[in-house]
Amino acid sequence: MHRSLRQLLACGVLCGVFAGLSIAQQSRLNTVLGVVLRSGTNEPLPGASVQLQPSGRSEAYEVQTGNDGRFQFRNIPDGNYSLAAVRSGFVRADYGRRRTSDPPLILAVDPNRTLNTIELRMVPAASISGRVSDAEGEPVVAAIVRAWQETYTDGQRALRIITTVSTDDLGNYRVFSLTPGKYYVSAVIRDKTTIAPSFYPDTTDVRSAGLVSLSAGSSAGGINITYRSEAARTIRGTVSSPYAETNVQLLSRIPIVNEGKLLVFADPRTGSFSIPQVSPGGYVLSAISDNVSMLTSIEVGNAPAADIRIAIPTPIEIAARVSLDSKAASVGIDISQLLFAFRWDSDVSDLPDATYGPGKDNPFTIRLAPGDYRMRAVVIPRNAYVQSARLGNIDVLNDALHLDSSVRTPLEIVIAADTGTLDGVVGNAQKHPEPNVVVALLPVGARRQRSDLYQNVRTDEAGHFQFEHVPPGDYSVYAWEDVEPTAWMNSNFMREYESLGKPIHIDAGAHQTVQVAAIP
Amino acid sequence: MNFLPMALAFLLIQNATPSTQSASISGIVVEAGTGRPIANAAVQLLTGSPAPNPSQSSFIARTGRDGTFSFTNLKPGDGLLGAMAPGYVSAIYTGSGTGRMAWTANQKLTNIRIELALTGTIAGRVVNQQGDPMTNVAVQAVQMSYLEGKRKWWVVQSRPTNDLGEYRLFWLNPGRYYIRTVQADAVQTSINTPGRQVSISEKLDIQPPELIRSLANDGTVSDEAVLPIYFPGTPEPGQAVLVEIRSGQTARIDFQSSRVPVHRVRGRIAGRPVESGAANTVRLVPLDATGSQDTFPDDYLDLESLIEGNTFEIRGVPPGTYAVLADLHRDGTSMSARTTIDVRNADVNDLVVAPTPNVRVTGSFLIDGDTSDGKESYVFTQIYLRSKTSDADSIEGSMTHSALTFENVPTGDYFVYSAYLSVEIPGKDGSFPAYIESMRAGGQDVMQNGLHVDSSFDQPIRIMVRNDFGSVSGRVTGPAFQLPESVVVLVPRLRNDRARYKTTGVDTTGEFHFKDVAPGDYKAFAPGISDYPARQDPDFFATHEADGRDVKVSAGSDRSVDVPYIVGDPK
Repeated sequence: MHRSLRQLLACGVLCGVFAGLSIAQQSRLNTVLGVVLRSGTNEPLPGASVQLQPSGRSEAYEVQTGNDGRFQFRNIPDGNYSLAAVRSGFVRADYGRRRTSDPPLILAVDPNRTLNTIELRMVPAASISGRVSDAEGEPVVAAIVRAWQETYTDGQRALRIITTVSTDDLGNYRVFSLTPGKYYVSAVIRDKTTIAPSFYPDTTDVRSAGLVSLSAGSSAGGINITYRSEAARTIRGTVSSPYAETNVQLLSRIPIVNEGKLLVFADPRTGSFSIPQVSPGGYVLSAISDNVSMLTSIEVGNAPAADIRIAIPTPIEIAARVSLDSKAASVGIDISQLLFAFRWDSDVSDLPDATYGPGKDNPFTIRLAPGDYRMRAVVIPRNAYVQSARLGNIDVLNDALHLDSSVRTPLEIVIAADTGTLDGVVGNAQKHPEPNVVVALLPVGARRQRSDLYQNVRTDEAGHFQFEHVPPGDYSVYAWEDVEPTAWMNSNFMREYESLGKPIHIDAGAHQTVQVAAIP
Repeated sequence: MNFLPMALAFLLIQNATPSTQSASISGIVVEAGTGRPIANAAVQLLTGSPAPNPSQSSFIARTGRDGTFSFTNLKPGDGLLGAMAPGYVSAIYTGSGTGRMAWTANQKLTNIRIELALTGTIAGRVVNQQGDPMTNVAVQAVQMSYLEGKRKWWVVQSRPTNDLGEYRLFWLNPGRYYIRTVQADAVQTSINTPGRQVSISEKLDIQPPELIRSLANDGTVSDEAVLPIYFPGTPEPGQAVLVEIRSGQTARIDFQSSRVPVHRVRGRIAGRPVESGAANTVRLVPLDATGSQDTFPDDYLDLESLIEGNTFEIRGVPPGTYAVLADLHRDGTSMSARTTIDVRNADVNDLVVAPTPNVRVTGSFLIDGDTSDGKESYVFTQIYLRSKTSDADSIEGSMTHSALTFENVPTGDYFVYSAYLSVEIPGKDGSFPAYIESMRAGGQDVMQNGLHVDSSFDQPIRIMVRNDFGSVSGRVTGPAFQLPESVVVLVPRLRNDRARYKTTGVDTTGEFHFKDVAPGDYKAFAPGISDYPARQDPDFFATHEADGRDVKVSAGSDRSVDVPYIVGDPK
């Protein structure tokens, strides 16, 4: 918790800012006014503590809201601040933060801005409580209890840990300060890592776990978890490969955000591998050797997993050639620097990329196992993009690249550099600008599967956003007040919102401006 | 940081190899008082002698649902039997007096009954001044511990409050604890028991601010800090009251508000301007009421300020007595000022500190038997000058061969503290442990009185080093003698000579052995089980002088002494 001044010394300019704060009369002074409201009803909330904290500092100004829910900070020096309201029984409300995955907004305080209409909405906090006990009904003490919510990673359904608590000597836990929504709850013992977490009510497989629905301010009691003390599985198998060094990755079909994937190296002599501590669930196993990979789906259940055999075949080699259109040539794009990634066409995100580029040789050679791939550029100047990729007459950019031994023609890749620009403002139903909301740019039609064409930004305090480099074509622009990151890349999620996008066409090198209504 | 030999012994588990011998030990583990059988308790049989040459074997059995256990196929021998179970205090079987039991070939020791006392619980609520629950406050059971003679908090258990402000500390061994609340990033569960050490981070993604500038509607500004609050509700550790936790008891302790008015210490550096851009800082370090030692060096205060111009301002200072440590640069010279201040219920606005140039203190080690006169010998040690005012004010020395240098020493009074001393001299292979026989600087007896450094100080410290140690052996006596936590402490006549405190374990028969004891006068103590933190506490030994036994150690001697076991609590 300390920021030692010796460390601060290194910060130079920042130290000056901080000195100015403590000697207020040397600085211009400002007023910050606002109101704290109960989320949903919009009734004012008295007795909330509102804290205005200079960026990078461990101290804060604090005021209490009056009966009208209003707060005022006077004599505040210029600078960047974070602003938050805390009140017993409510979830902490950070300025500009709609969900826990959002970054809080920085509030810039200076005399040129009038800050008198700030609204902080507080959500009544919900909680989940219960008991963790083993099969004999004995309490499980000092177990780690986690609440989870569904989210997305690159559009794939995933789980995120929302909060962690522990059980007491009676096995009791209480997860609190939760926003309304649906939660999974799990329990695991830290010092026994070989045990799979048990989910409420009585399973180690999250797919059969019970969801706890919380409305604002509700308390779900009696959410008791039977701790199964079931050993996590070890996945064993053998890779056969023409190459010596093979690594094996296990990717969950419902991955956990920010948790590393399981990666092991196969024994170089025998090809055998084993991946310990795997919880029940659906997985994709990939074996990669020298950029050539194979996938296999596996189901980890209650029975010990069968010995997995996976063979990396001799790859198919195709020639690829990169060319520049006239604009790209005129801006001097260096072909030798470009790098392209080829990934299995799959609904599992985070599969390994096979990357190839021309380097000094154009055309260059691509080696991949037979199958279907999605292709994209991974190293390319920001103003450039892959305009087309063709195998003879076949478009392999918007469709999958199908590779089998019949492929004879070279892959022709054309790079263009005529991106356009898109900017705009997001407003709410009352046409007020919406700060800190996600704006997503989605390709439409045949290009829907092109992950490289998806872009997203957050609006600034004035509700403004900009996409600087947009490859020409048809898109839809969406803005959500409240959305899980990358949910828009998930087709199931988008089904509900498809019609709410703002269609736009970006012309080569052109600038477009658009007004977008935020989806509540 | 659990030093219990029992826990250590668990690391030394050896498999019981079936033998042709067939002695056996069987019995039951029950709850003290109720006699209820305890299932799944770990019963440990420790055979052999742990000191001075450890050769013990350890066997583990688990009790069944009916609380029974058995060890079979034992060779004839003797040993100690102990048991531990979650929620109970670990115990040694003492049915046969000292705890030691012996068995012959084919003997069957049956009906051994080990009673385990229940641990204790503390539960309660933390609310703020309005009576609203305080969430994510860590409530901690702490005890005093000593590191190199410095008192430190030792967190036995830390548990956070929930949204109702409730907390629950459990599995506490009966004894006395300070209980405090800490609102910080210490939001985690940590449990330290012999049977289980758990650390679960319940950390928040956003840390609460440490210092609050509370702006009231009438325009008044008051600085408040979120400081640890000690039972019975004081921010001053010196006024904390120990809470007695009894076996099987649940104590209820509620806390109210952990916001404390804090103050501002403003001042200036006397004299010409300090060098801009240099590391010029002023630091406050808490002192206890006597002003002689750090009371509770604590991780929760960071009272430090840069010097801007010639002024400084430290905010968030809780009431208390502080050492003021100013270190700065002026005219290319490093300078320091040392003073103390008392902060009560108001800001301090006019603290003037007058720096003096720092002094270079040199010295040399003169090693007994070194024929090279220091030129080809090497001294390995961590050596410090430690201010008599505050332990936090210390300077580490650097060694070149046998020459010692302390750079930038503020003027003041110091103890010289050397740890892990070993030397290498021509004609002898390798390095070997050594001790300091005497330290003198000019006319000062540094060993006895410490070192006074003023601006004219220019006398090198001459440190005489020898390696002709003695040794001390003996036995812990008394009917209440308990294993395995018993230790013996050798306390030097000069109680501030921290390097000479020595601690050793006691074997299963109560015997102990110290080797490499520097010659001199000592007192040997055998503090009891609950007194672990007191093992290096000069105050503890001062209150038990009658239980210490004088030992005079001379070079090459092996003294023998019986030491009575000290029962009871140090306070």
